[in-house]
Amino acid sequence: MADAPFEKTGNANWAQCPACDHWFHVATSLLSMPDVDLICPDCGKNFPPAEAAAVIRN
Amino acid sequence: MPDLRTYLHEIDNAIFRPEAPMSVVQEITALQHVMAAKNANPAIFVRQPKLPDGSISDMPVLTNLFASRELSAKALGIDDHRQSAKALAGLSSKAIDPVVVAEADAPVREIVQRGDEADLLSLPALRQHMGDAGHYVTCGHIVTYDPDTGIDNMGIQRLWVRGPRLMGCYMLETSHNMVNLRKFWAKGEPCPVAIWVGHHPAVEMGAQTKLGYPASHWGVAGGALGEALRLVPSVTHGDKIMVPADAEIVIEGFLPAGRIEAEGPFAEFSGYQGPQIPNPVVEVTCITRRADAIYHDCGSGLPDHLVPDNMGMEGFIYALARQASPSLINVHVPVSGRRFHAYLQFKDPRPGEVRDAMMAAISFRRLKAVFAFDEDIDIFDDRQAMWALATRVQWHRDVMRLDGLTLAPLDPSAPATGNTITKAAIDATLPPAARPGQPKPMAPRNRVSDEARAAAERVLDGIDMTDWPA
Repeated sequence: MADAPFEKTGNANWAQCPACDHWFHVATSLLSMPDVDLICPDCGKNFPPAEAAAVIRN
Repeated sequence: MPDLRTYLHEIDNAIFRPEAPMSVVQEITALQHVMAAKNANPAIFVRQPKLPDGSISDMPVLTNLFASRELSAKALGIDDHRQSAKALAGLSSKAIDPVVVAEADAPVREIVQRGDEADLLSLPALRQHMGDAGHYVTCGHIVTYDPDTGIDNMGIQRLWVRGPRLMGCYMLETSHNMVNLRKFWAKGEPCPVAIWVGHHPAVEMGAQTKLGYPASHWGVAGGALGEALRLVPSVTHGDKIMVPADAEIVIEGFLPAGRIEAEGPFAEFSGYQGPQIPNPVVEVTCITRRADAIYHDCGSGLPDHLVPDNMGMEGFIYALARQASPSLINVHVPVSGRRFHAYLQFKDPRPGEVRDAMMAAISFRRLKAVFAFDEDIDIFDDRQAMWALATRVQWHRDVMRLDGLTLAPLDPSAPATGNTITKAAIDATLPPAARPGQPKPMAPRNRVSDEARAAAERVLDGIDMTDWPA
């Protein structure tokens, strides 16, 4: 990024629910807390970040 | 005592009351979106809110209460909404101390539900937008206190209803409620909290005035209303946390020490979804309310949300920038810029004053850019603001770029890393005349005479133009 300071880059992280495959928007601070479960806003499943079906970090 | 009901009576002809049931899941918020797109801003009173299970709530939903600048200003006793910056800048100096009343004189105590009787799911809280984590209390004024001094603080923060007695609570790191919470948690104690919903809009707007820490907001809220606010001790916390006797609903409880859980996503003021984040939770101990309580919702990211916040910001920015420039005559924080832009208006500024004032204004954490205009530009009309930017700015000369300033919270374009951003101040004022009274050294703007304009208005008088091409 330092080499291309005027390139646009994203800032939003996404997690995918392991139960219903719903993708939702998650803060970096929450993904970095392994003991705090994510909560799927679609089906309500609680799961630690490590158990997400997928995570996209930006 | 003025309260939400007396206010609704005053604005009776500015309330839209849909007759049919409307779902609390997106439908009521969709109505706000459609109205905002048409620039129609009545309050909305839904007599039959339909709950997720299909039943109709006994409690009506009031929303869009703040969507109109004109009505919001009038609620504060300001005749012209364009003058709200000056009026609100002086609000904190007009504080009126609250009075304490007996529980029997507090309408908000008509029903008291303690422990297992308390049920947040009985409130018709809205699930406003696609992707929201759930149903949110969006107009809850959260009251905590500083354990060192006993002085209370108050602020609106989003509350996710997660169960009959559990809510997620978005507490901004820099908020004074978070300062109080951290003090309790540092001692290993839960943070006591009370949340009130629904009152006269002057109280709600006055309660949001930016104050130092620690400082109670009750006096300023009373000053905004024009009389002393009636308070009653909370059921759970006694006189350590007072609540408005004339509110519609009060939710009491604790933020358990160290308990952090996921909260969100939630569609935010910026017009974009805020992410799921780690936040404290509220464990509810008691709900009190009027027997015929009205549930007050605020449409997130809509004029209902932006107008009162932005009007408060105008007062704060006016007070900041006016100290740097006596030629500053007005401030507008336009809904089009969410909370990120402020328009400053000047009359005959001395050399350097515009930049001085812009530097003062940009120090307000929420802002990303400030714009300076002359008095001939209507700063409440974005088209005129854009015209001035297009015709009065040279980008090499009139732009100040200020690096390393505090990040505007929930800015969806903020860098992924770091805690500071670059802000901009843009001077769209004209160069000064060589001498007072002489023309400014710029081409004059296109004009027609007052007589010609009056003649044109007479031609159009009484003509229905609604079907004319846009």
